Amino acid sequence: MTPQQDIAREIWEIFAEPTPEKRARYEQFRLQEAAVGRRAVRFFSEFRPAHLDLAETISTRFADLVSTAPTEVDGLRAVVHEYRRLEPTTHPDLLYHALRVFVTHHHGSVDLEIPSILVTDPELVAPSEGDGSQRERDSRLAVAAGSPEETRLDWFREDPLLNEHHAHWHVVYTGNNPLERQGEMFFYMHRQMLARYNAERTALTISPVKAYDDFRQPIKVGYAPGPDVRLGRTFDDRAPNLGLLDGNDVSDQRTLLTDIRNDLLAGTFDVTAAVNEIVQADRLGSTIEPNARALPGKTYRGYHGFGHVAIADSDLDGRFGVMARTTTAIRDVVFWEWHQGIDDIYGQWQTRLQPYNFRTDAPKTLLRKSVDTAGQPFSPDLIVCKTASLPTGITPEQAGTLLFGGANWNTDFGNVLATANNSAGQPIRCQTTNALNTRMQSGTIRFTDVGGVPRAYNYPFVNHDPFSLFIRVENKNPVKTTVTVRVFLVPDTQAEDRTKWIELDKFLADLNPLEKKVIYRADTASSVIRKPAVTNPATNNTAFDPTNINAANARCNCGYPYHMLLPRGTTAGMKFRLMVMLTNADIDIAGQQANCASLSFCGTRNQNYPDRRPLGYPFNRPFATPAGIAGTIAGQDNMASRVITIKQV
Amino acid sequence: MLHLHTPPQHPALPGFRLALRQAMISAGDLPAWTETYSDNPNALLELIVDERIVLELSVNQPAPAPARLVGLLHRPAVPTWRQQASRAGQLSVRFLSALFIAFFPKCPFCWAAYMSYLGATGVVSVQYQPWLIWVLAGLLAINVGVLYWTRHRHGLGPFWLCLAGAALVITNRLWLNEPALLWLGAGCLLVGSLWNSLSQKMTDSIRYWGGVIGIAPHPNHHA
Repeated sequence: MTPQQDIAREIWEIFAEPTPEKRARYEQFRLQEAAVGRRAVRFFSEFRPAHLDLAETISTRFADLVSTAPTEVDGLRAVVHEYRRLEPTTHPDLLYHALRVFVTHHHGSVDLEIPSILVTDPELVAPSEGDGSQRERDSRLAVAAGSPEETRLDWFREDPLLNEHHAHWHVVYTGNNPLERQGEMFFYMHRQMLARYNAERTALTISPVKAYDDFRQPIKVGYAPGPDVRLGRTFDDRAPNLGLLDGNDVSDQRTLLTDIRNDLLAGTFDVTAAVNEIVQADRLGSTIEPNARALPGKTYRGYHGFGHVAIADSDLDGRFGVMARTTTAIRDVVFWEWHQGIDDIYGQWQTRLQPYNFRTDAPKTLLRKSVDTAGQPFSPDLIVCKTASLPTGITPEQAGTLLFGGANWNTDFGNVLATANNSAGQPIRCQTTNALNTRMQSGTIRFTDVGGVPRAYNYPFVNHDPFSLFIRVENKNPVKTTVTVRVFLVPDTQAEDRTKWIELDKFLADLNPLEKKVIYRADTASSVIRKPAVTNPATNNTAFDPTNINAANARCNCGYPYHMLLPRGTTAGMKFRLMVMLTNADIDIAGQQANCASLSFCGTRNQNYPDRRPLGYPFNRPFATPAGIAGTIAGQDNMASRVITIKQV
Repeated sequence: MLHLHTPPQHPALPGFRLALRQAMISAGDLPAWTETYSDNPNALLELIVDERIVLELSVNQPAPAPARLVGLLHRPAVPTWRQQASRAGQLSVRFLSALFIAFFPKCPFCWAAYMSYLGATGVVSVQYQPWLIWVLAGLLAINVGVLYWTRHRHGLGPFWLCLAGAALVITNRLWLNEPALLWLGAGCLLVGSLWNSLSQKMTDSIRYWGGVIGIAPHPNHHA
């Protein structure tokens, strides 16, 4: 093993050390300190600005150690040494957060890896249902009584890699050193999570998430994180219909929300000739989140984090709920309700924007329109293939051109076995489809509990059959054109609600002059997922692999889990609308494209965000009436949509 | 390509789309069209085939049966000479304006290149001064130097072309005095300078069209 691999392994193994024991040891230290009148962090929360400041101090010190060392490896050894020095007197979760921030933002030649959450914090992502024993089931139901329908979405909220996605995003976009457009991204990334959550609720005929934005009201649904989370000595249960602790929080929250709404109505964040909507979205998001670019003097600075902590601290026994940590918050129903309230603020601000006139800067491209037998939008130019049926011995791009371009340009490919001949005259085939299949699978979390007891929990996760998208587009321009291809998905019943559209992908495509091109895109290349696509969470960086310690092959951990790229749908088949929009890349591109990780949620590492359009474009503004969203798509040559069914098999 | 122009809330629109789909399938066509919307809610729904309105529906009229639409889909559409001339004119104007913008000198170096070209070839009418040849030589040197400096844009092709052109022009002015060589050198300078002033996208487009008409490698769609 090279020195680079050796130090990377050492840091990997620090993350892999069991945290519950560390928390227990630290608690002894904290009690000793308290006995002599000294205060130490009792419970670390990324949502507490003071805690973030402490973590930031440490991560900055780590970075300084590397930058001042003779070599990078020497610097990283000094980081490990410093970590060990701080360990006995620093809250382990705080110290881990500091190390995560350092590793994530480290851009030396040594590619550092952070293990999967299944390795770093397995007890925090164990299913709340435990191992299904009657004792655990009774205990849980006693706490979560009154919310049987919410329990049906435990698989979604408790998905280990979805929790990891949320936690990692908050490490990439940390509060004290905000990245470009962080406030806007804060709103957008959480809106996308909500859109996906709401799609799952729609599938289960559960009403969309309602905002919890009034602390005077009790929180209806309780949450019991599960037996091993408790064994981790970390989180507390919350009983149903629990009111928040009496005190300042309750009245403060209403005052702060009123202040926000008044500022929105007063036009504090309105677009002006001098300040565009990206800057204003960033200011509003930065102030609400908060991060260091928050507007000064606003009472509601940190409204979002304030809510997390207040809700997590809603019990009387002095312990905290899962809402206090980015690693666990999304497990709780109230996380989504609180964030719906945050999203409503974003939405209120967006309603003050004028609808786009998409004709002004649309590239001269053509996506053809049609309807299916039910009269629903069905562009023949959006073709979906099952990846497993793609022909071999030929690239997918070549296959797409042969199967769907040329002489087949005017052929309808709904749900057929497309055939063509390759250059050698041999037949090639591909099964197109109107239905994508998802399926529930099971994974196992294994770890050694406090006291050396081996534990194993099965958890369910959704996955889908790999699919490929082929887009037929005609360039009407006599010069070469580069377009940004934006792909979205929405439950058919919510297609007129712009906040419900799920971003599936965003990428560039070159079109030759007047070319009729078939663009190919695999689901594994999606801009919203982390790369490489993890098809099985059990194989997700759960063992140190020195062959990956190579900056050229650097793995980037940001992004939505691949296995959750598609909503689960229903067993009978649930209708969704797939939409593609082509925009002019000459206008869009602001910087280098990402070569790994999620472009959509993290941009390009250490570069400006590569898309100059507001996040979520074109769904970031109200649509013109009476055309609405469907009418706008139908009336634009650079947009098209089609219905597609997602079926859980 | 068929086109619908309609108010988006036209009552017959959903039924019309379905009927159109069925009609196109019956006619053996791919059921596909484009749509644009009228802001006037009382406007007619118009079906346009080859830029001619073949059917109009008021807001009170129901969608026609697919069989009726089938007959409208394949109207012979022979464009008149006026339409052909108009299209050709529109294309030419767009193409020429794009070329003008592409070649318009946008920086001091471009001005230097153009002026050196015009001066060296004698297009600019000035009284002859013996020292002028060295001014022109200086401008040509700047032009060639800039082409080398910006070689990351289009490689060394424009540089070598202009260097050859400059050498021809200067040697011709000083010693040979052969008009054909002068124009050959001027041609090299012109092509090299224009080549370098094109955007990468324009170069790609020209290369693409060159492939289509057979004077460059054929564009490989499958690459």
